[in-house]
Amino acid sequence: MENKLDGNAAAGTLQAIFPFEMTLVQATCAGCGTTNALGATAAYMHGMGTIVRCPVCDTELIRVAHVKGRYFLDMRGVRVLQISAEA
Amino acid sequence: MLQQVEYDPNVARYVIAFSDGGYTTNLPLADVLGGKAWVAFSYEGQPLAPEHGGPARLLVPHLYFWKSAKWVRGLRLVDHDEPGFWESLGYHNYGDPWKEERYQGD
Amino acid sequence: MERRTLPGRLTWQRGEVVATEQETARAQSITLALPTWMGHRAGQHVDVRLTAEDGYQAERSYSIASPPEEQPRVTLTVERLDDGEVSPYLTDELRVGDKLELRGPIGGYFVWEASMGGPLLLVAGGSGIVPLMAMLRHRAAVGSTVATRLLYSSRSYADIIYRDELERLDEADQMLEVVHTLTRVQPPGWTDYHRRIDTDMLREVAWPSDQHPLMYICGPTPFVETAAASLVTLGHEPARIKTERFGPTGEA
Repeated sequence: MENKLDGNAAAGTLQAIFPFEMTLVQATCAGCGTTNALGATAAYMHGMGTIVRCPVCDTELIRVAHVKGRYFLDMRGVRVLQISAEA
Repeated sequence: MLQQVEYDPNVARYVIAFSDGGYTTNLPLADVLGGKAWVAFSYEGQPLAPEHGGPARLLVPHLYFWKSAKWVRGLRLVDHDEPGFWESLGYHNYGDPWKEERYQGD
Repeated sequence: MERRTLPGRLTWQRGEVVATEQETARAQSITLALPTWMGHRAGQHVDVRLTAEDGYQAERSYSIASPPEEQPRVTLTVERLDDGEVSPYLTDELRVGDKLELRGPIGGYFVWEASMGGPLLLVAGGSGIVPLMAMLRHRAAVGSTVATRLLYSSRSYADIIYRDELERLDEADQMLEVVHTLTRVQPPGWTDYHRRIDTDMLREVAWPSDQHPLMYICGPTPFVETAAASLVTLGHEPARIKTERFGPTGEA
């Protein structure tokens, strides 16, 4: 089965890309419109990449793979990201 | 299995396997015909366990492992190629292990 | 809330192992000296990366067990998973003086610090105690009197990580209660719980919902889901329940 963890588990990879504390970033789901802290989402860790899903409707919010020195980041499931610029 | 499906071989040239959780993988239709691929429902006489991709797993032994999609719900025949779930995240579109086609550009 | 410096993008750094301590037959603590540590908060984790000779890399997340007050040294506690790619190396092979590649601290969501108040409910399954121990150590280090209860589920008495330290903290502090449950084997005369965590147990141990506790649950995925669902059943606000799951295989 898939390894379901909390959004916390995806934070290391996301924070290698974004210079913010990513578990406190609020993401609005493009599927159901709810807004959740990334730390409260579900993260599925695969050997190939990481999938962050909406805790309410399971929409893929973020897909990220680290492939040959390059990050591939698909965020089409996120309507809005709210990032605190004051940490 | 696809022998029982009527399709126009001039139109249907690719297949997309779609799985639980929204995962997909894309393959040329020719790569799943002629006994080169099959769908497994059991292993050693037992129903295929979820951690091995059960209840149904696509097996495409001549391509990289992610093409052998776990938890398969269906196969869709299409006329054009379109990258699947991992293929759109930097993994190789075809995935021939003999050519080490693991990542885009390999 | 106080203003903090932006963490910036995480990068890998190499820490030096300065101490190791066997906590149980399966769990080992590893203390690292890190060249550039921006400081952590109780509950955060790090990613550890091992690189094989052929270049193959494996990454896993491990919670920080030590409180911020012990910086710049950072202690991780790692449970050995027999089929793991990373943990057997960390528990069996790593020696004082070795270097270990890691990045962190990670995660501001699953964090408790004394200024956040309480009452505080901590629920741990197995090595899920690790980030909660950082919270308890932080609480003790700053002399916090926030009313705190820990419910800690282990397989057996010998599997209780930090057993002696928890007992000392519990005895020394009127505002802290530590309750154990042992799910498989109990020693003679055991008076705490001896079953898997359930709603009845949480009804007895957890603060009543009208006291609006802050709740942190860490453990294997099914444990966390059972505990979180039970607390919601008991009337707690989901938004005050923070969870940290770890996969049974440690695959990450």
